[in-house]
Amino acid sequence: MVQDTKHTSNKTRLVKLTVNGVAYERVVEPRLTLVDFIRGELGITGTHVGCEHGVCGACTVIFDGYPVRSCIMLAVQAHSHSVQTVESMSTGDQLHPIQQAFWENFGLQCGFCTPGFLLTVQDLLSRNPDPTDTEIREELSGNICRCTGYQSIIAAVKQAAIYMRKEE
Amino acid sequence: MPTSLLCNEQIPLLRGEGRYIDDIEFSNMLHVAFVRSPYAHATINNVDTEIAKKQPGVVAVLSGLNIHSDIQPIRPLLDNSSFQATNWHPMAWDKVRYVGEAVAVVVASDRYLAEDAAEHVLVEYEPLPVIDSAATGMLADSARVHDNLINNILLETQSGLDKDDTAFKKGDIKVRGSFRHPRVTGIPIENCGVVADYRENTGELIVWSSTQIPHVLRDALCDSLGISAHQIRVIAPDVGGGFGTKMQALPEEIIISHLALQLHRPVKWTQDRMENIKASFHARDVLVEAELSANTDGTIVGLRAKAICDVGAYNSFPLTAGLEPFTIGSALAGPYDFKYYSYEGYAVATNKCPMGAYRGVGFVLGPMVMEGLLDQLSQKIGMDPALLRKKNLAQPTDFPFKSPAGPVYDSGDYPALLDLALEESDYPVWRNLQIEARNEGRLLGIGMSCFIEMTGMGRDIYRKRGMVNIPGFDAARLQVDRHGHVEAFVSTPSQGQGQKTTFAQLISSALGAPLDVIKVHLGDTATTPYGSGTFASRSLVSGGGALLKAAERLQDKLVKIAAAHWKVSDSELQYVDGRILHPSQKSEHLNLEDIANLAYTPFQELPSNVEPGLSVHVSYNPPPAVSSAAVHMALVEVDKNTYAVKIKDYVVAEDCGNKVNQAIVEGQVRGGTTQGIGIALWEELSYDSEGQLLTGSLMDYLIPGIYETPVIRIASMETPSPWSEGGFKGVGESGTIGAPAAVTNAILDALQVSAQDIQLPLTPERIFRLHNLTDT
Repeated sequence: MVQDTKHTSNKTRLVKLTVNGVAYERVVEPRLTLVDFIRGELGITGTHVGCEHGVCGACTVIFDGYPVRSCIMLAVQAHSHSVQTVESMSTGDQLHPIQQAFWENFGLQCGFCTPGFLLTVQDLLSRNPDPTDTEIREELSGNICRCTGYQSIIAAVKQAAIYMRKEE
Repeated sequence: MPTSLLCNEQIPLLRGEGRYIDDIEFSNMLHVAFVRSPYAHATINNVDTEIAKKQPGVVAVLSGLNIHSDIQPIRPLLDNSSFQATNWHPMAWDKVRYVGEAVAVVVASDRYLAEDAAEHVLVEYEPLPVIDSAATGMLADSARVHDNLINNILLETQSGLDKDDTAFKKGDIKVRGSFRHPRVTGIPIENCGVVADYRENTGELIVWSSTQIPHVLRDALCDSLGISAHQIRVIAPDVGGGFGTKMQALPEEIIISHLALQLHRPVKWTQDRMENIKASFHARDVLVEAELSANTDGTIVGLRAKAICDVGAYNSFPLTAGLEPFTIGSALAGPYDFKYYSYEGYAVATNKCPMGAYRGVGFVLGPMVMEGLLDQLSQKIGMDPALLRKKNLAQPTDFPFKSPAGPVYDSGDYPALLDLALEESDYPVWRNLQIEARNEGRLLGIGMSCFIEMTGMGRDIYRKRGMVNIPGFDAARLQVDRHGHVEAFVSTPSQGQGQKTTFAQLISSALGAPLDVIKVHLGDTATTPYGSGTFASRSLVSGGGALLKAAERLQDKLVKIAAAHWKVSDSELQYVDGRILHPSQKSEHLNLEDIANLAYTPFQELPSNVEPGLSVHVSYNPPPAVSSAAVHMALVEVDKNTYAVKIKDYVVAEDCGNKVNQAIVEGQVRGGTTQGIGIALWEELSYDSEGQLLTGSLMDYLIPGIYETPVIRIASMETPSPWSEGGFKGVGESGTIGAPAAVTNAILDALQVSAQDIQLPLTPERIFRLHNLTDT
C-alpha cells in the first residue's frame, strides 16, 4: 500500500466530546483509536492498552453509559458523545467504593488491568446491586487479569456491592 | 508482625494515576516501529530504507545493516564446556533466525506515522531451511541455526549417568512416560516498553524500561552500547506484571537506547501484543522422557530422565539456554527420597523465538513428570495415590535433605503438608463423590501434586550452573533522617507483588518504627544499590534478607550512638521496640528520632568507629537455595460429550517458611496456580513446519479468564528456613509449578487411563484421544 503523503494530513475530522464531564475539541485522523485519542491527545493515561484487539479489556471506558473497548473504537465515533474513564471515579482523596473494595480485598497486584475492571464493575453494579458469584464471573468475563487468579476480584465486587447499597 | 497489611502503593494504580512506561511523555518524544522478519530462517540480501525515509514525520530509519558494527551483539556466557555462545544482534543484518526478529526500525514523530513508514522498508530475503523443532535440530544432518557453531545443541548437561544402575534395573516395576510442556509465555497485561533519553548536560542516558532487572539490564546495555555504567540510569517505573518475561534483556532496549544516544531526543517504544507474543520471550517447550523404577510395596528405587528443550534461536541474557535443562535436572526428584537418579538435558537451538524465563521454569517439570509416573505406579500396584506419595516423601528428620537429584533442601515437613492438603480437601469425601459420579457415568477425577521449589537462589547456585551474568546477590540501603524517618532502597523491584508493603512491614518490625515514617524505593539504578533483581522467587529471601541485615546493622549503630550519648558501654544497651532504655535510670530512654538527631548533630561526639549520620548499605548473598513446598489437589469433571474440563474444587497446602503478609502470599499462590491451570488446559504457542507462529494473538493463545478460573482454597503451614534471614522462603512461582500436574492427573483419573504420552495443554481434542485409549 502506497501512502499518499498529501492526503495523510488532509483527511482529518473534528472530534468534540466530553471526557469525565470536561468538553474537548481536537482535529484528528479518522483512523486514530479512541484509546490513543484519550491517552495521547488528551493526556489522560489511566486507561490502558493491553492487547489492541479487543480481548483483554484493560482499555474499557464508559461510553454514553455503556462499557466499551476503546482500543477497537475510533475517536471519530466518539464525536458528540460522552466518555468516562477511571479518573472519573474517585472524588478528591476519597476512593470510589469500588476502588476501596478492590484495595481492601487485594483485588489487584500490578494494577494494569484494574481500570478496565473497575469501570466494568461500576456498570455491573449500576444494573445489578447484589450480583451472585456466577453473575460476577459472567459480567467480568471480558476482562483479563494475569496476576490475581480473580478470586480477590470477586470478593472485591461483593464488598463493593455492600458499600454501594449502604450509600443509597 | 502485622499480616495482610493493605498495599498503599496500589492507591495511585486504583485511581488511574500509575506511571507505566507508556504513560511517560516528553514534548519532543520520538516514536518507533520495528520491521520484523516474516521468515523463520533467511538470508538478508538487502534492506532498502530510502522510500521509508521520505514518509511523513520520519526522522530516521536504521537497519541491522547500518548499525551492526556500532552495537555489540547480545552474547550471554555460561561457564560450561558444552556451551555454545550465540551472537544476537539487536537487529539482524546478515540472517534472520525467527519470525518476528527485528530487521529495521523507523523513528518518527508519531507511532502511527512510524508504522506507516515501516511498510515502506523493503527487505530482500532469501529463505533457508527451517529448523522447526528440537527433534529436527538434534539430527546429525540437520541444518544449523548458527553456521559458526558445530551443531544446534547449545548446551548439554548430565548427572548420574555413570552411576551403578544395578538397583534401578532390579526394581520390581518400571513405569515410563513422555511429558511435553508446551511453549508458553508470560503475557503480562502491560506489554514490554522502553523510553530512552540522553541528557547532554549531564552526559547521562536514562532508560525507563518495564523490566524485572534494572541493574542487570544496565550491565547488558553497557556491553552492547560500549559505554560505562555510570553513564546509564535504568528506571523500572510501575510495571504491569512480569512473570519472567521481563527478566531478559530485549534487543529493543538496546536499540531504543542507541537511538536516543544518536538522535539526542527522547525515544519511546511500546510493544504491542502481537510483538509481545511472537517476539518477546517464550518459555519451556520441553519434552521429558522418564522411567521410574519401584518395588511392589510402592518404594521408589530410582528415576531416569532425559529432557530436550527447544530454546529458540539465541541464548537470552542473562540466563542463557542453560536455564531449562539445568533447572529440570535439579527439580525432577521433588520432595521424594530414593536411591538412584540419572539425568541428561539438552538445549537445542531452533528457528523460533528465543527462550527466557516464565514463572516456575523447569520446576514445573518436576511434578509433571514425577507425579505423572507415581499415578501410573499407583494404578499398577493398586495403592492409593496419597499413600504411595506418603511412603516416599523425605521425612522431617532428614533435613538438611540431599535430594537424589543433587540439591540440598534446607527444611520442610512434607508428610504434614500432604496431610494438610488431604484434610483441607476432605479427600475421602472427594473419593466418595467420584464413586457416585462413576455410578452415574460421569467423568470425575482427583489429581494431586507434591512438589518443592528452590527459591531465592544465591551465588553458589549460579556459580555451579556457570551463569556468569547473574550476580546472585541483592542489596539494601537503609537511611534514617534526623527526624527518625526511614527510607529503604532495595535492589529487587516490583512488578505488582507488593514489595513496598512487605519491605515496609519488615522495617517497621525490625526498627519498631510506625509504617507512616517508612518509605521504600525500588527500581532505579541511580538510587537503589546494585543487585540481581526480581525473579526466581527471590525478592523476600534476597532483597528482604538484605534489608533485615541492614536493619540489624543499623540497630548496632543506634546502640553505639546511645552509648556515646550516655557515656555507658554498648554491651549494656539494647534496641527493643523502637527505643533504648538507659541501663540505670529506667525512666530515661532514647527513641529512633532521638538517636537519629544525635547521629546528625555536630554537638554529639561520636567514637572514632562510628560514622556520623544514619545510613547503612548491605549486600547479601542468600543461601544456595531455600526450598518451599506445596501440595495441590484438584477435583475435575470432564464433560463426556464436549471433553471440556470443569475444575470443581482446588486445594493448595503451602509452606513457604515465615511470612510477612498473608494476603500477598495468597495472591501469589492464587495467581500462580491460575497460570498453571492455563498451561494444563489452554496455553500453547504453536508453530508450523515453516516456523510461522500460529497463535499470535489472544484470540489463539488463550489465558485463563474469570469464568474458567476456579476458587482456590489455601491451607498454610510455616516451616521457617534455618538458612535464610528471617526464616523466609520464596513463593512467587509455587502455584504455577504445582497446577499442571494436579490438573493433568485429575483428568487422567477422571478418564481412568494410564497414559504414557502426555502433551499439554489438555485441550478437548487431546482429552478425546486419551479417552479413546481406554475404549480401545
